[in-house]
Amino acid sequence: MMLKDPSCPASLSGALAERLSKSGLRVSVRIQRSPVRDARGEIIGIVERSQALAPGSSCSVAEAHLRLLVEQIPLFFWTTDLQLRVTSHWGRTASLAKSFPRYPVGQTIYQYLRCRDDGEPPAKQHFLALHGVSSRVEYSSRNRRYDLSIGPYLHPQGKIIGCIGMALDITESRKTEDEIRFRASHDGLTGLANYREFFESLEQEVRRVERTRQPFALLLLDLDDLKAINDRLGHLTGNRALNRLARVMKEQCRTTDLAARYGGDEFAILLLDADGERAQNVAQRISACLRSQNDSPPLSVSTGYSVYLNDGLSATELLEAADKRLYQSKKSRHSCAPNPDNQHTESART
Amino acid sequence: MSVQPNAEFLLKSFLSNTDEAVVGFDLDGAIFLWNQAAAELYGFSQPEIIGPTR
Repeated sequence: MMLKDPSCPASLSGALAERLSKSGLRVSVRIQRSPVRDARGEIIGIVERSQALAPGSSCSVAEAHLRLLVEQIPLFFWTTDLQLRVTSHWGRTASLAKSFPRYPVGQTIYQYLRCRDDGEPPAKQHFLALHGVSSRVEYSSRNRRYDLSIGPYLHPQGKIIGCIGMALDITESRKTEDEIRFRASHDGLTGLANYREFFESLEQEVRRVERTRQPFALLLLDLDDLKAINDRLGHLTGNRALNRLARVMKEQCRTTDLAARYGGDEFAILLLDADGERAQNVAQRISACLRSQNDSPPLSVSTGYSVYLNDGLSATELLEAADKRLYQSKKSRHSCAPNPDNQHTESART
Repeated sequence: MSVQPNAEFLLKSFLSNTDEAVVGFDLDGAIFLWNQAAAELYGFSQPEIIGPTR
């Protein structure tokens, strides 16, 4: 417990100390200590007198207990007066000590929530609350994200006397949500967008282009001979081959383009604000990049593109058109080089 | 001549009426004195600290 500290000096006057109370709350006290002597003058004990320092820390046991319970919730509350000064503060201050002041009573909400502009959240919501409007807003401060609810603080007779605010720390859950969203929309092996994400983006682009009339192109890529690589060199090598292509695709894309792994060995790129020429350019650059790599096995791709309006008006039409060109390029490749499977894998083995 | 209250009574009433937390402990650190203000300040009642009978 707190006072059983035999190393403490027997005489002490006006020293400051922090003690733990039963409710777990720290109590700041000023201490006077004097020795207790027996009839012969030998010290047999110590008497200590202490008084609480901060007015806030001398709260009643019931309030301290309630505060302790409230602190178990990842949540904090505050009330303000009509001038938006904090009049009370409840909740998990310990974990937020770095981003929020520890003793905020008397501060303005600008200091308390580290905001500036009256027209921006969360100050704006406080002004709304003073007019009787409750609102909710997400707010970021110092790398943490909070879900704020701010409403009017009503006197029992119904008059607004300030605001009541509540903040829930959603940093972690937001991170998890983002990760789940990423995993649901991306391919686990290559990190590119997956089929669904790609198809949704394509449909979205089709809808958008109906208004903007800015053409876009679609490029399908097929990693040649993946099956042969898998069969002869193992699936790990096959996976590495897929990753190599994915990396090259990312390098050759603009940030506004969307690269996706469309299926097993099929990839696709949505090229915004692009025509057939740019699509062919990108396809050639990717092929050239793969050719220049020294890694084994050497990789090559077959490509097919389609352009909005010329080749179709819907996502399905565009995909079909691109697929047709892809098939043709595959067929011509096969007729040019009769047995590329063996060439590739043989060169990889030597 | 007025009545002299006995010293123990005087001390006890002083201890329970002061708003200073007064705590006494022996050289082993065992607490033998714990007044009303100490109970209020630290949240522990006298029986919790000293034991039910002393």
